[in-house]
Parts: sequence; structure tokens; C-alpha cells
Amino acid sequence: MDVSLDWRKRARVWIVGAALGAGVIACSEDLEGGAACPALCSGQNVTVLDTTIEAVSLDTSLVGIPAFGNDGSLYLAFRGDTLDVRSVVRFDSIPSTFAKGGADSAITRLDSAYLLLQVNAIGTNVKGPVRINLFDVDTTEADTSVAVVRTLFRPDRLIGGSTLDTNQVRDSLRVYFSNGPLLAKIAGKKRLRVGIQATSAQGVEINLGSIDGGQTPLLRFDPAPEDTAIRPLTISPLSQTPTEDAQQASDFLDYIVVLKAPLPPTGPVLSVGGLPNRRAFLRFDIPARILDSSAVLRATLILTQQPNRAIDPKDTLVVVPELVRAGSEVLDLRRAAILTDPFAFDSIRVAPGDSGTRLIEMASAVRQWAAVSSAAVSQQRAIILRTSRQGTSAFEVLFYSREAPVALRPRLRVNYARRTSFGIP
Amino acid sequence: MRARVVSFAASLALIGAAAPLRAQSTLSTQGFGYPLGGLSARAAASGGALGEFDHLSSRNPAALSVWRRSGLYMEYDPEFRSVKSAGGTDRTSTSRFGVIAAGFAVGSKAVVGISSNTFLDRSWATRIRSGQRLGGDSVSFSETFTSRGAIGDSRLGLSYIVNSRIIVGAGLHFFSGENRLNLLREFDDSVRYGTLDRDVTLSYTGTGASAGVIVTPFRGLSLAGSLRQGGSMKLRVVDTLRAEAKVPNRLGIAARFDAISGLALMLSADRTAWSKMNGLGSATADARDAWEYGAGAELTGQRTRNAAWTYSVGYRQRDLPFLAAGSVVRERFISGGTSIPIAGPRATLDLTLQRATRSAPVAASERAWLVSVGLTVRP
Repeated sequence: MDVSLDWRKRARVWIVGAALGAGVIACSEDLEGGAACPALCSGQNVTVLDTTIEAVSLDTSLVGIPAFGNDGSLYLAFRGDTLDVRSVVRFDSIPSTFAKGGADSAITRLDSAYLLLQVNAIGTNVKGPVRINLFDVDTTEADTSVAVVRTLFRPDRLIGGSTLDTNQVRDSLRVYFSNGPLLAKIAGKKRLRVGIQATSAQGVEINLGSIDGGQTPLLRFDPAPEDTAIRPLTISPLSQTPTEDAQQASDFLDYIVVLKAPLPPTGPVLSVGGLPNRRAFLRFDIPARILDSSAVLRATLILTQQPNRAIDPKDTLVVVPELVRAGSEVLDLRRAAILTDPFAFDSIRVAPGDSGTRLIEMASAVRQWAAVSSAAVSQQRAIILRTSRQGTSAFEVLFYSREAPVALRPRLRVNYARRTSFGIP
Repeated sequence: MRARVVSFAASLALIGAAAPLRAQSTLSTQGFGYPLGGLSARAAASGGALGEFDHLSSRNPAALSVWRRSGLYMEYDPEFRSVKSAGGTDRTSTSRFGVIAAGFAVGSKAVVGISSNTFLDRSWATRIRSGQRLGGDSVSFSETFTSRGAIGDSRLGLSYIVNSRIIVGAGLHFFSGENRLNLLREFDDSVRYGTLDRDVTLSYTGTGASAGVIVTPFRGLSLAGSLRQGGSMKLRVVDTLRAEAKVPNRLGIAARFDAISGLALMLSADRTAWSKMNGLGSATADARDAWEYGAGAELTGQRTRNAAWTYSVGYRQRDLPFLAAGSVVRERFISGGTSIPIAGPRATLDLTLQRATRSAPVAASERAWLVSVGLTVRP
């Protein structure tokens, strides 16, 4: 046997195997270092330019967003002569019978009838005893006219109410109906449309759940007070008019009625919040040298706030910027202001009564515009400003618009790096 | 356009305050990159001293005659590098396919060879933490700066056996390649500050011509010499010509002693005029002309299927072309390797291991293991 030849064969196999193994292991690169910086890292500057421009080409305040009846919550507010906001819930169908012993029995008596409302802690401000009144706001004429509904909150239409302590206005609350008027509605097979009003000597704000917010107001009553085996009936809201427009009927399921609110601002200002709710819409015209030829590192919208001391000037609210996703073919600003996206923006908390400069960081928006600037579908270069409590707060923040004196106009400060070559040794 | 510049003065003020863009954090990949030296695995194993006689290396076109018959060669060269500094130790690995070569015998006296060698490899990545002022704020960021790619040296060469003592050769070189660079600067607050993510590709073209000779004045001694005359070298960004310089000239000489049967001793010296590249980059890519010296031995071992194994050892030292922090980087190699006939004379596997030490009077040192695996196939 040739031992030496055998050894060579085995050695050759081992060497080839080791070589191939080393090759496979080395195929995955790991280039990353940096510990020797800055000693070995010769500097090449990334030139960062800092420019402040009047880039807002159009700005305006838009009313009516969210649309009527689409509020995320119902709002009750009372502030003496400055603020009076009420809500309405429709129960256009109330059962007139209840099940007893396997058969329907007519409702001839009822008791413990109440409106069950969910309370949102955010936006609720109760400083003392609160009186909540329920009104019959049903009418056969112009029932889609909020102006008419406003006139129906009057004493002769009072159909119930409860007085609640501060600690009772939390989580959920019950406002009781008078049995007589409600029984009359049931017996007459009439619809029930309940107007809700809150009053308090100290002023009050209650943020209630709504259908759009996923917290449906409910009507509940005991149809047979003498029979404890009969469970109370629970009725959900229903809106049946106008019969020719189901969408509008749906909007009227539950809605807010503003009887008194601070007047809308005048002059060169942008309004955010208030009642009815307003959004600020700002469209930008950014130079191509920034948008097309640069990498934007920071973009700050500089707004100058005008003090608004109409209501609780020192209280605060959150202003949220959103990116408008609408294409440039959408000319209706109100429609464009709905097609938004909660982009990666900072929100800011401001007190309506304050003044001075407010900064809104919007680098992500500018970079988004840069990314789609060469795309076939053009996106509006616009943002909206809204409050976090749209339609459920009277707070309103005012900013000077582009029609204001130069020093007060919105400006855009941009830090950007040109896309010129780098990396040449 | 309605947009009106309100203030631009601050722009220029910030230029000076901009954070430096960190470049490579190694000694070896400064400037336009690390020069592999145009050596095959077998030549590298013998300290580069075989390079002037080696048909698989790109130095001397006269050596192409060693092909004798047509063949193909491929080489894979991973490098495992460690850089020590006060900031710690970086361990990195780089994969390269350093050499692809083919030779075609033309008659009994001439060989035409084509080859592609990595000329300057600029593969590295740095990741650092730093900060800069943006608007009115000082902001921190993490930055990764990556460079991949290399300049390659493609050669079309011809060697001709004049007689039993003299072989001559000539080659045309075309230099081409690109560096694909990416700068990713991510600020800690990624909502407020946008990420800087920039790509750029630097492309290079250049030309050169080389000539060489191998002389055997008497049995047991061979002398070789070659030179390369560089033509223009151009740097383009996208399609725009950004800079132009010269391909470095090169001159090399070597001697080989085969006085003892089965043992070859070799010495070489090589001079590259890297300074010809100055002007292709910025002033920080300061290239200096450099010498390389090599010494090696090659031992013929056992035979398998009529083909001999060879074992090589060598030592090589050279200066790297580009300064690191203003200082010349010196590189020393201790190397060893073997050539294994895996299918008789038809296929040979070259395995080489080099230990490189790179030093300069700066606060960092670098060591590396360079593995080369070459495969020659002769149909």
C-alpha cells in the first residue's frame, strides 16, 4: 500500500475543501467601520443651505369640515352670552309594543325612561352642577333646517332633564325623560327627536359620544313598570327623513347645533378650530432648486399667531398639520382639504390667547413633494392645519395669512443639501 | 413664481458649519482605493517577486508566453481587515475577484493574453455618530458612508519568444470602473429632520501601454523588466467629466535564480508613479510615487498526475499610494501559498495567504489577512 500517495490525496481534499469553505465564508462582505474616525476620515463637507422663503402661494380658512352630522362626538357647551352649543339625536321609530308571554302587548305605561350618553373625558369641562334639558325638537316643516331646529329649544317643548353633580359627568350619564310626553309619542307612534342642552352657572363643556365616533346614544325605558320580569327596551337612533336622500337622513341621526359662538375672524388671518370648525389650507410654491435638486433636511413653517381671547385664552389645544393628498386636478379646496393624510408631522399645542411665532416642522411633506414632483400624477403641494377637537371645541387659533404685513406672513425655512457630487476622493 | 427669498445670507454662514462627511476609516483605502498590485495568487505567495515572470499577473506582458497553451484563470481574493485606533477596533471583510485572465497560444512562439485585474479597490463603509446645526438647533445623527467598486485594469497583451534566451511582450491597457457611493445621514429625530440619502456613481476611464522583456543570460538566472506608460485618466460623475489626470507609469525589474533544482529564489523592485493621478481628485487624495520590493522562494514538491505541486513563501513591502492624514502608509506582507494540480496539468488551484501590516505615523494601525484562491484551467 502506498501510504504517501494516500496522504497526498487526503491533503488535497482537505486543502481544496478549506479553500472553498473560506471562499464561501468570505462571500459575505462586512465593510462597515468608523472607529478610526476622525483620524483617518478626511473631511468632505456636505454643504447645508439655510433659506427662508415666502413659499405659501395660497392660504385660506375652510368651514364645514368635518361635514354636518359627521362629527366624531356630540358637543354641549354653555358660556353665558358667548357660547351655546346643543345637540340633537333622532329616534324616528319607537316601538309601541313589548313582548310579554310570547305575545305583543301595547305600551300603556312606562317608567325609568332616559337617554344614555357616553362621556369623553377629553373636551369635558364641568366645574359645578350641570342641568341637562331634553327638548322635543321634532317638526313637520323643514326638518333638515338647523335654523328651524334652533327655535324648538323652548320651554313648552321641554320633555325631560336631569341635574348632575360634577362627579356624575363621567364615563356615561343618564338624562331622564318625563314619562308623559314620551308615552304620548309612543302611543301616537310619533318620532322622537331629542334636543339636548347643558347649562351651568359656572359654564360647562361636555364632549359626548356620537354615532360617527362609535359611541351611540341610546334611548332606554321600562315599558311595564308593574312587571319586574319585563326588561327595559333599548332603542338606537334612526333617521328617516328626508326620505329622498338617505345620506342626508344619516347625517341627521345625531348632530350639533350652534346657537351662540364667537364671530368668525375677519382680516388677514387663518382660522383653525372654532365653531363651526375651520381648517387652514396652505398651498406652497417651493423653488425647483430646493424641490428638484436638493435633499431637504429640515423644513419649518413659521406662522405668527394672532391672539384670540374670545374664550379661555390661556387654555390650550393641539393644532395638527396634515398632508393634502389631493391631485392638482382637485380644484375645490374643501374637497382637497378632506383628502389628507396624517403624515409624520409634529403637532403643536398652543393657547388661543397667545401671540408670537409658531413653528411647524414639515420636512416630511416637502420631501414627499420632491419625491412625486417627477411622477405622472401631480400632488397638490399643500397642507392643512386642524385642531385635535374638530367641531367639539370653541377654541380657535388664529395665524396671520399671506395677506398680512410682510413680517407676519407665513414663511418656510428650509435646510437643504444640494444633490451635487460628493465622494470624490 | 411668487416665492420670494426673504433671507439667504444665513445660507453661506452655515456652509462652514456643516458637519464633515466622514470618508474611509482605514489606512489602506485612502484616496482612490487600495492597489492590489496586479499580482496573481501564485505571485503574491512569493512576495510579488514572481510577478515579472508570471503570466497570470498583469505586470509583464512578456510573461504571457508562460501560458504555453491556451487557458483560463480566475481568482477570488477576500480580505479580512482589522483597524485599531483609540476609538476601538473595526473588523471588516471585503470580497474581490482580483484577476480574470485568458491566454491563447498563437503558433509555438506567440501568446495572446487578455486579463482584467483590480487596479484600485475602493470598497469601504464607515458608520459614525456626529452632529450639526440645522435651523436653530443642534441635532445628532448617525451617518453611514459606503463606497463600493473599483478601477479595473484590462490588458490585451502579446508575448513573443525571440529565442531561447529572450522573450518580449507588449500590452494595451484600458482602465475602467466605478465607485458607487451612498451617504445615509439619519437624524435622531426623523420626524422633524429629513434623512439625507444620496447616491452618486463616479466612473473612471483611462488608457496605458506596457512593454516587457524576460532575458535568460545563462542557465539558472532569469531577469525580467517591464514598464507601463500611462495615458489619460478621466473621472466622470454621471456623464459629466469632472477631472482628468494620468494613469500612473510603472517600472519593474526582477531576477530569478534557479541554481538549485526544484528551488527558485526571486527578487523584485517596482516603482509606480502614483503622483500622476494627482488632480483626478481633491487635494486630500494626495498620491505619492511608491516603491515596492519583494523577495520570495518557490519550491517544487511532489507530483500528482505528472504535475508538480509548488510551495511559495515571500516577503514584500511597499508604500501605499495615498496619504492617510498626511502621512505615507507603509505596507508589509509575509506570504505563503501552494499551487495544487487538481487535474494533472489541466487544472491548477492556487492558494495563498498573506498577512499584511499597514502602518503610518497616525493614531491607527491596520492588519489584514488576504486570502487568494486562483483556478487555472487548460482545456
